[in-house]
Amino acid sequence: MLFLLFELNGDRYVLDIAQVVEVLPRIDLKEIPQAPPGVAGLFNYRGEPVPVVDVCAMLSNRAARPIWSTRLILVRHPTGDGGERLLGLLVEKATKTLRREPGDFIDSGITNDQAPCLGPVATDADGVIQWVEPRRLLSDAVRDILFRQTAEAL
Amino acid sequence: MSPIAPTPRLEIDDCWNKIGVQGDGSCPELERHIHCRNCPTYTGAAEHLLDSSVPADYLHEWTLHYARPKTVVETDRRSLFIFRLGAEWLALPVDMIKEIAPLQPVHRLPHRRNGAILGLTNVRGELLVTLSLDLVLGLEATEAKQEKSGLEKHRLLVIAGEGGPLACPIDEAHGIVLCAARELTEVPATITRATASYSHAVLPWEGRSVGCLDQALLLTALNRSLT
Repeated sequence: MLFLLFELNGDRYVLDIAQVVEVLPRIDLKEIPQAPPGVAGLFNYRGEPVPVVDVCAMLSNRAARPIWSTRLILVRHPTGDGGERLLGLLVEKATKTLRREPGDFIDSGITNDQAPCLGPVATDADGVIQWVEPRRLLSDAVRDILFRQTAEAL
Repeated sequence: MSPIAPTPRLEIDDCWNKIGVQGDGSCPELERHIHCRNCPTYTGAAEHLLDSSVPADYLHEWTLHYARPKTVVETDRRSLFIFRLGAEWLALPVDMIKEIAPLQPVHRLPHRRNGAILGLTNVRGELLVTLSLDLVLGLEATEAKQEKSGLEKHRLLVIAGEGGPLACPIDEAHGIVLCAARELTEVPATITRATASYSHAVLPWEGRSVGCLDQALLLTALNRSLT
């Protein structure tokens, strides 16, 4: 199974590559005024408004640095009414992929209601890698705000 | 959310220019990695380059790029061999064709005067059963046979049949065209020509309508003609 690696405060996290639609550079975003914390803005993707969530801000209260290795990862996110919409994730150091078996990841034993997207962990010589489930990144309230707002904007 | 910290100017230790392959070659790691490009230090330095800040106009350019509709590259393309039988232009998938040979004399088989089998033809030392494609497809074979002027264009089409190669004389070989699947149109329902039942699509080509023969149907028809 292939994963996309990214980093957050020096630790490594992975996304399942099957959920990734496209990896884009960190392009210019339009701000969303009064947006919930962690929401970076929205942009026009091939004519479709796509909201972007700053994963750094969401998980560690710090905006992703504006450097080359910070990239925008497009994933599909459920809208709650059975449909799916594109969601951009701003992550740091998205420069590598990693091939691991799903069985290598074991339950970390820690459940955090504040960050339900954090999944099982795997280890290698350089430390611990945690699996991030992007479909659980947004709380229901934030999800409703984002997908309603972007449908009206642009 | 804390404000974004400015990225410091990058310091890169270019050991490959000093002790590596572009330097004096004294690096002890070279024995293991042979060349600097295989060394993790070199890879790490390249990754380090991505830690510098991005020019704003570069990002703006990409923003505009992703705002435009995606240009779809045609991927569903197929190669068709176009040839003529009498007045009909037909096409076959190229993977079905083994060879286009010059027309050779056909040696008739005794007691096989009827049917589509014309006889045997020597194609580079191999005797191939030769079939009249006109008869197999139910075309009127008359016009083609009377056409004496274009004899120099006649060729022998060697088709990969299920039981081995088969030869079919054709009146003219055009060549291979590459076409996109969306260029192919449905066979009009009003067409009553004999080839219509063997065609799965029509390709508009140089002002003509080329019937694209269905591979499976044609192979079945050829097999039936052999018995």
